[in-house]
Amino acid sequence: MDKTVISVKELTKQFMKQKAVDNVSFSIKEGMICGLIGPNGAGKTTIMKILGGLVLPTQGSIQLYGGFSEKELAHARSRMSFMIETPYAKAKMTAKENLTKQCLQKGVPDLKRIDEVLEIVGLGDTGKKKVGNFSLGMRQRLGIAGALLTKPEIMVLDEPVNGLDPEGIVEVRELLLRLNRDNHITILISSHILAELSQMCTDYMFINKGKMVSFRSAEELRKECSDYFCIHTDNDSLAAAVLSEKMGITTFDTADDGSIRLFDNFDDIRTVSKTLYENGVIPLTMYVHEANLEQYYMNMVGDQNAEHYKISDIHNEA
Amino acid sequence: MLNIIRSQIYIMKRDIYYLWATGIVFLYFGAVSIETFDSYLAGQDLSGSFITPVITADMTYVFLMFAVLFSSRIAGWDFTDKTLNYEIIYGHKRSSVYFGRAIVGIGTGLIRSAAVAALIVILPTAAFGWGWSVPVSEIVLRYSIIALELIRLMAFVIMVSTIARSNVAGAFAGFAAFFIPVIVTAMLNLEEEKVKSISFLSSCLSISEVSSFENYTTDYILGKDVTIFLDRLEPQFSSLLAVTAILFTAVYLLIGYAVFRKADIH
Repeated sequence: MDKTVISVKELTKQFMKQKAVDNVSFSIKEGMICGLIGPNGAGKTTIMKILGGLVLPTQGSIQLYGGFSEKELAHARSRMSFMIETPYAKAKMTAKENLTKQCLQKGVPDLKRIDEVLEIVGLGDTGKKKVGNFSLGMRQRLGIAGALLTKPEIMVLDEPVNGLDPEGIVEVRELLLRLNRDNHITILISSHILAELSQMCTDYMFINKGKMVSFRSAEELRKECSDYFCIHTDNDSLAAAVLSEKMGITTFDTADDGSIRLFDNFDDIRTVSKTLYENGVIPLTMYVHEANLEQYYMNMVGDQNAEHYKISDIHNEA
Repeated sequence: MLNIIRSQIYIMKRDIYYLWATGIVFLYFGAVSIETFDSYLAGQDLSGSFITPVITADMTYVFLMFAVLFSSRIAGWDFTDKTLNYEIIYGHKRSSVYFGRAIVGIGTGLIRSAAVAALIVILPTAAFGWGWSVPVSEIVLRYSIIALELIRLMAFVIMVSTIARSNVAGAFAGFAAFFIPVIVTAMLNLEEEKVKSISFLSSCLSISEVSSFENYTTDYILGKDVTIFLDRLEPQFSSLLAVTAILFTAVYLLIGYAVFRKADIH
């Protein structure tokens, strides 16, 4: 898993007065399942469209399989598959006819593959039903089927489980995990369903207002999303000063309700509570808080200024 | 590019629009043919060389409809449902996407127009023989220029459909580009010679020029009174029309590609 297959450097896309993507850089290695997470309008789809060649960057560059010229990118895309926004389809044609058209567009000689992928996504029995009469979930499945037609090496999927029922979500997740495991397919996937991404991604990219906020491996994220120790005292500002000056602890911040969140050292809580008490601070409540990906995400994109407080800030506020 | 052409042909076989468009235009062709026959040909001594020029003059709008309706649909419709996006994300270069569609759009319009032209020439010739009214070479020359002018018009429609990302806009522009010069020259009440001198500027004026036979005489050949069409296209004039048609075709297609190449496709 060392070969870089997608590389994006200082990518910027400006639409009129708005920067949809602002100086984003990242690399995706072969074999990754990389989750692209961000709120609506964050720039996820724009990034995918740039990778797909639908949108041209204002600044910056992309490399696919190390190639960056138009010819090299076109060749690289022939080894990839994309599902961006709502899948595109001819409404007056059936699922099979739409996939046949895609096979012709892509130069896939084996039309038997169409029946295979329709079975995989559960659309094998749609027969003569026109795509215009499909539900959103069925159209999503058709989009995934189209992405599987050519047995790609990389799949770029924009909210592929949008509109699917819970059973469908599980099927897609298991399919993608199987494709990654058995066929070594690299996957870049965006979604709002964070719980789903946490069950399959090896890496995460957080994006907000066009900017890359964070790129973490699953392991790094697990540690960062880990628990913290929450302390309510009768004098939070004094407690903060005691923690930093007496104990040398700086990895904490103050929540909106005034409680102190300790991210390290909470396996040594006896020493912490004793030191607080000896310095005139009475701990009122103390407990371990278990964080999760969603909370981490809300912290990432909800408040860009949610840094750990420095001691000087606390003194100023006091 | 070959894959794009194949997929477009596949869609055309399944899109009922093309069936309807072809049917309606052929119905119009039939109606015009009957009307022309009743008006101009009844009671005449018929031959292929007599019928062909007469009917050709009335078939301008048939060629126009085929050219505009097919090229606009092929160039612009896939923007509407975004199925064109697949061609880009599947790794086709934008030049292949654009020119592949241009080839299919122009080819489709030409083939259908050629079918009409073939009916106009072959049917009466098969029934009555070619005759002496006009040489075959003159008909071949005129139809060749009509073909180039249709290609020019279709290139314009493809350019507009691509830039506007709409087959409706392309069709509208095509019909406007065809009729506006006719209307303007009529309103200005320009003399025929003046119209001829500027005909190279417009597909419609060019087609009108080459499809009409104004001057004729009657001769007695093999025991029959035969109408002889006297009009012949001068080599200089026909060369001018051909060169400008080719030039404008290239310009329109290149402008369309220049815009498409740098466009964001949403």
